[in-house]
Amino acid sequence: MKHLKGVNRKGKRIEKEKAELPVVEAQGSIPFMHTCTSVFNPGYEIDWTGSTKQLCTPIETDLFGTTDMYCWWPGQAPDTYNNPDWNADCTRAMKDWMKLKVVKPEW
Amino acid sequence: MDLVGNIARRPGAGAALLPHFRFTAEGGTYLYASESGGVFRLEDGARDALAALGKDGLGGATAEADGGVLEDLAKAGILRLGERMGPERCAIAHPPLRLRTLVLMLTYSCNLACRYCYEDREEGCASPVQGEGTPGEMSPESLRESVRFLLDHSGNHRKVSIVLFGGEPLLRFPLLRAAVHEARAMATAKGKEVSFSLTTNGTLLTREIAGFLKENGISVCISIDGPREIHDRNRPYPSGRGSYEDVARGIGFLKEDKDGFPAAARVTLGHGAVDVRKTFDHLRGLGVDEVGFAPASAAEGSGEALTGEELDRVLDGFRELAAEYADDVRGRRMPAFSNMTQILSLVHRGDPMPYPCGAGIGMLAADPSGVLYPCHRLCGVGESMGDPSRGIAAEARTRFLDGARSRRESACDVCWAKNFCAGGCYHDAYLRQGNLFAPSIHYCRWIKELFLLGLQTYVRIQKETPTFLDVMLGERGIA
Repeated sequence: MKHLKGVNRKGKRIEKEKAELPVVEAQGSIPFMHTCTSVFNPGYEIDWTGSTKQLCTPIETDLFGTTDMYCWWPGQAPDTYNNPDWNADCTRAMKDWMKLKVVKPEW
Repeated sequence: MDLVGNIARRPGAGAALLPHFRFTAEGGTYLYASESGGVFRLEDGARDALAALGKDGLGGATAEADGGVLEDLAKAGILRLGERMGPERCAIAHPPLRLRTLVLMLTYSCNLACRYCYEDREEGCASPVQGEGTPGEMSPESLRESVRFLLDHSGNHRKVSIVLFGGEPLLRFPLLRAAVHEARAMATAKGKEVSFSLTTNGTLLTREIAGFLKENGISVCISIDGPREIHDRNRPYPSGRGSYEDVARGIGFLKEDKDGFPAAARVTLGHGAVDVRKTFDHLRGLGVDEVGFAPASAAEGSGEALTGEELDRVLDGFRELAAEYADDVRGRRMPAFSNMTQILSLVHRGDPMPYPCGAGIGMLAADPSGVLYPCHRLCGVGESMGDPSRGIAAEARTRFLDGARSRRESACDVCWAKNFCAGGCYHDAYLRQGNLFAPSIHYCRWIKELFLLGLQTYVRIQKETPTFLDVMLGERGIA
């Protein structure tokens, strides 16, 4: 950033961000949530074995629950409205979820 | 200063200027981006581009704004570029209940009859003491259950806090003492740590009580409204006798030892008594370490509500204290104006704030019978959030937080100050407008002025003493 200089903690963080991604925060990541799942709630990480089986809500079980406009966690999966084919190569999420397309938001 | 700021507007198809506020401080032009919470110093190019955007929309700005200005503005969360179809917002679940703080209403009784007290029936707030089935005194069993509830619902917070509140909690000192010992033992058994704070009118403080409070590291907040003439007018006994002398003596007990821990004063500004400067100096003279102010919550048109002119005078006082705050920081003295500390910490972290406070999220209050409410002020007002025996009333909690969010998202969404006030105090809205979720529009201008003062003070402090906020907030565990 050449034209804006971050002054507070958030501003400095934004200034340092390399990627030209938007930094408008999803409201899910609010300061009151201090648990380990504040960012990835409900657990779309991998567990210690590298799989998702031991997570409270593995991604496979709820993959499409995050795609519609009423999803409570908008950052997890692209909305199908703007990205209708994001999962075109992934017919069975349990098996081939790694073929999901990475969708870059257009901001 | 134009406090309207910039609301979200759509300069061209698919692009939008997001809520933000431009201000000057320390000879520079700065920008507060409401969506991201970032504070930025604006270089000339960005300033011009932003002005053009506000005037002519995206089309007007594109020609002038080369060299990545628009990208910078977009990155900062001030401008949304590109076509974006579909819903503006997604429905988002409320955060789970992870208690950090439980307010214990040890009693509804009080030995004072403050003229602005919201527990007074005449103020429009039903007196819970007389409410059906709510005995006004907390029992030891109820206390134990409440503490257990806090510990059980604190998730993985290792530190929790209990606020001893009332009524006047020192009327129940034996219970209070037991609460401290028991809660500590229960927390230790669960591998947690509990801290206590006490809000009191100070009249019942004795040397013994002060000793107990100090020994147990209980932070004390005393309600005192200023010099004798103001305090006695606002906070008399039911007989009409003023309580100033007793409070001042109580503060004296707290400050008796050199190693006495900090005592804070909480000043309620009532109609006719808004001399912030005088009150602040007086309380500092009594040995109080921190002073915070709040206008009395009162029904519209009641005799206690501050007039617009009085609110302006309060702001003038705040401006003086803010300048002094920054002087203190520069001089390595601990500043005492606690309203400013709170604002600065908000600005410093820059977190989005969908709710005005922790009520119903990280905080609940237990009324004397153990019934849970979102906060101490809402005890007996509106729906209960459950009780320790039956657990949390999840649906009531959702309704409460839905209400909070609906006002934040409708009335306040386009306001640049939304992360600062998030609609304001529920209880204040209830008293003023009879609706917990009505945005506190009567304070809009005032709140914006106050936030602006906070932003300007912030810029000054970051310039002069850039390490101060990290150090102070770190010490307070809120960094």
